[in-house]
Amino acid sequence: MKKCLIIILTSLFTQLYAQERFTISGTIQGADNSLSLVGASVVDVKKGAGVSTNENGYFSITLPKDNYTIKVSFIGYESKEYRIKLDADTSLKINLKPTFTEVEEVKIVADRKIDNVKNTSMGSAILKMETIKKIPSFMGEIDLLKTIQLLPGVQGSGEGQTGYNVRGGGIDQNLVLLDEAPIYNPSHFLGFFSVFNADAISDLELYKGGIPARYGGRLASILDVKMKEGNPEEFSATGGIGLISSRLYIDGPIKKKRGSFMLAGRRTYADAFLFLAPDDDIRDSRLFFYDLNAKADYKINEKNSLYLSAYLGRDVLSLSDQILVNWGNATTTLRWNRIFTNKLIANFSGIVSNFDYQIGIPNGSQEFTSKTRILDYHLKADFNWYLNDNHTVQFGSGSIFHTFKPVEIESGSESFVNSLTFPESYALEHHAYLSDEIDWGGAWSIEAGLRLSVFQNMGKGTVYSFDRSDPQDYILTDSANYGSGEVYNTFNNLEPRLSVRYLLNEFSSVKANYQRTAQYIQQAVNSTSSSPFNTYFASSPNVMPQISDQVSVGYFRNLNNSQYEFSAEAYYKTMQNVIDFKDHAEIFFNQYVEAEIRTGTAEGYGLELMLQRVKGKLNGWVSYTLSRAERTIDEINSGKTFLAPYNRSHDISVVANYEFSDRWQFGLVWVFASGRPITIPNGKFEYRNTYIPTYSDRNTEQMPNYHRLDLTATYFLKDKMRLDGKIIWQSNLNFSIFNAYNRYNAFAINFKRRENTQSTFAEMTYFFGIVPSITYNFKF
Amino acid sequence: MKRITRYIWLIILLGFSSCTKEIDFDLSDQTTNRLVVEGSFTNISAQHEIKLTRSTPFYQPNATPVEPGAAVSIVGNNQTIIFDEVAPGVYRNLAADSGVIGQTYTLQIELENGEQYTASETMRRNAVIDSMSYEYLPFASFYNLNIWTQEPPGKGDSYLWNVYIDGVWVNDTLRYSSFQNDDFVDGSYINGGTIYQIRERSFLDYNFNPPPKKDSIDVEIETLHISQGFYEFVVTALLETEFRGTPFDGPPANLRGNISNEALGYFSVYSLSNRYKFTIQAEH
Repeated sequence: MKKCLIIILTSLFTQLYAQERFTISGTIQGADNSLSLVGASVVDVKKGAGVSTNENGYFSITLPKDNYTIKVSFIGYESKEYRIKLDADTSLKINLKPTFTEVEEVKIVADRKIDNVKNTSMGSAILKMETIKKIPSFMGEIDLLKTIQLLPGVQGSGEGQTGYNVRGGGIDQNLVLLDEAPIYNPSHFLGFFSVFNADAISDLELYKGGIPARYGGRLASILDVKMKEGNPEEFSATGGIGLISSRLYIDGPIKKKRGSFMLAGRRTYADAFLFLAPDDDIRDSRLFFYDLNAKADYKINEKNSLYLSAYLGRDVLSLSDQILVNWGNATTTLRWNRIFTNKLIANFSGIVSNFDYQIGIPNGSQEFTSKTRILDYHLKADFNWYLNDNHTVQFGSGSIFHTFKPVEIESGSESFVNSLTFPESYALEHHAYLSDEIDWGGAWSIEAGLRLSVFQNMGKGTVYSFDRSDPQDYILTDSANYGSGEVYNTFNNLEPRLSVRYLLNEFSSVKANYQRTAQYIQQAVNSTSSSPFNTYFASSPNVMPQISDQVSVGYFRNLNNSQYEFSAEAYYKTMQNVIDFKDHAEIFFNQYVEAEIRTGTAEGYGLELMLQRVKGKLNGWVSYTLSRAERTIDEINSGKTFLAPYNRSHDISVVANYEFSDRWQFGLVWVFASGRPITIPNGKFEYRNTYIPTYSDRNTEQMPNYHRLDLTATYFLKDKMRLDGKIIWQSNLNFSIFNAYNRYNAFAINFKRRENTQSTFAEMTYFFGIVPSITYNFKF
Repeated sequence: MKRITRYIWLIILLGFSSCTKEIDFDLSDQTTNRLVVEGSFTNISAQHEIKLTRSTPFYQPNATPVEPGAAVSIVGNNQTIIFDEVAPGVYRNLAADSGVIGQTYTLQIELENGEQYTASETMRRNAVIDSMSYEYLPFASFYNLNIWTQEPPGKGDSYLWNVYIDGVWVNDTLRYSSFQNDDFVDGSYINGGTIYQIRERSFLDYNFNPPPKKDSIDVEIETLHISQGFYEFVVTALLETEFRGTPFDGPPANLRGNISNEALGYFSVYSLSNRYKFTIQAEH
């Protein structure tokens, strides 16, 4: 590994002594609303060398002294060319005009860099919110976590669920970031809806491989979701009224052209009609969730900008005075963007992320409230150094302070439930990284990165010792207590990341990638779907960090004048210290959840094919994934290798949008997936008038295949205009049909006894038949 | 707590139309045929019963096959109690024997083919019911039965309640079993803990057709102080049968019994409280 670093560093410094070179840098904005354009390309027309703008709309390119024609372009905007005599560092502020001439091209999985073929990275995808909004939605709720399940290599954890599995990884192995803050539980309503309000999001980037060195902390994937920035020119509002929720979004300038704000809210009203119920108890019940997003940005001067984003969401469920449950995330991110020189820019961020849930009985002899919390304080610095046109260097470091409060039960004064607190635990997670994207000109480019992650358990804390002689039942033997602030355990991991691209010609390339990732924060998930009540726990002397190595190769090709993009990627992945659980593990409200864990190795491999049509009135994609995911754990399934519960051999997604006219727009999604593996009975026995199944090997059979068709149609109503022609009210009606051919897709198969008889039968449980919905959206 | 989280799932899933449908699922080539033991021994002078049956393929449509002709006995507290076969596969002690709290009792079985099986448990201290109460919940149309008792300090106590209505044991099926352990109530005075819910249909008198509604029913409750092993067995048996079918189920797994030699089932030794008797007036 040392050698690799030296090679990167020496190649950096040799470049420093080359001929006289100057830098062109600047920002690119939309002329219509002064919003930064992210991913706009800046290309030297003669040689084809180019860069693209970063998340602040900033770019920097360093070239030898010469005359240049620089072309600036961005989808949906008119391109501009600049002639530049480069004999000094040059700064540009570029405004691009939006194009209105033709139907807007929809680049479905656009790449931030120049394109799919030329980009060094692989295994990643960017989805714009406009694309996601065109896809049929469940109950009218636009859902980005369900949309990413339509990408190859990403599989949904179950019917209507927002949980997902990436390339043979568990649902607990995905990191979800919202403006850099981790969202520990990105779902509402036990997984049927995601926490992301479509109005408040601008785009997302998903990494299932080729994870850049600046990201870490989870094994399988990183989902980086960005909130929208407000319009710094004028106020506007959008909103929607749906069957289960309503939304409102407003944005506008704080100070014209200097700063803007955005506020968005969504609340469901499943319980709004309960007041009609005749019964007091039902009338007093609650069942809803809400999301609030806010973002503000302010440009202090040309070199310094501040960004503040916040998210708050919560689910509330109560059944009269019987039970009260609520859970949710709260995050805040403050980012200071600083341009040191035209080649070196930095972001300094302070992040707070909190997830907690409460379960309780509000009164009576069983009154109690139980609270569980995970809280992170995160400080980090990230630098982009545009060294020259061959090297883009990124480096940075950061630290997270984690607090885990597993269970704190407070009982009422007349209650017989014990007040008790499971010991809290604390941990520090540090990282430092360096990566360099080296464009060798010609066919080769390399992105080489190295990430160092350090995890430290810190007091005040308790470490339990277990007698592990009975593989089914670990017995607590001892516990050791550590004082406040005392670091009692440290893990280190070096995580190399390497991507190589070789251009075969202008239209096609091959790429390869290797990555290692480490995960220190675990979620106890024993089922195919995760719930908000799944316990989070840290790596510790009892739980080794999970480590994953993945190699992938890919072939990328643009066809028919880039009207179509094709990609084929194959991956092979191994994982160590993968977490599973003993039979009938108690993972809720268990102080000794570490005693329920059984660890082993896992393996996954697959092939992902995707063909997209990115231009034209009819656009969309078809993707196919062939994959396998296996686990081997000594204490489970007698140590024999078994299929991971989320293994799906075949997975097909078809996504199509059709812009029929200015008034009508149609969308279609069809998905097919092989049934999940299940464990089936090998017999039964009778005990207390009950037939109880017996089992042999785990996950040997398959559930029926899953397939489903969703349709959507959007009708754009006539705009309302002022006398001077300015549009003051735009609106549309969206009709969606989920599961259009009403297929009953099983999410579980149970083997049961027919009541009051001796006969037994198999029964499947399914959630949804056909579900139509209608939503009214407006903008003013 | 397993049950509380369970209730939350159920309430939320009710919000969605979670449905079930019978399907064909091939389970051929099954040849399972293991001994199954169901039985218990208590501190009450009574005839105790040990049932011996066999496991079968899952779709086997007939009555559960029994295991006749076995030699069955319980050994403990320096005595050996012989069980005689009173019906095929059903074995009873003929005198009214009882166990002593704190003693360990071992079940010994020898089948006709010579195979031997054993299981043993220690009898836990007696649990006492101070009083019972009931409350009617109109929105759910059932009566909560509440218990008043001192839970003894010290973790590891588990309880099962047998409920009798008008003299008939109504929760002898696992799905109606009523059970709790002291994980979250250790050492507390239980001032009205709900242990069972009686549906309105329990008031119907099935001696007549159509059954008329009775004005009151007599309810008797007894508390069984069971071992942790048996508690786990009952809970996991429910997880494998009644409690399956949510997206949050763990993977299916075999129950952990206490019979040697890979036999299925459980031999439980427990102490019983005296029956607490009271009358519930029907709500009209």
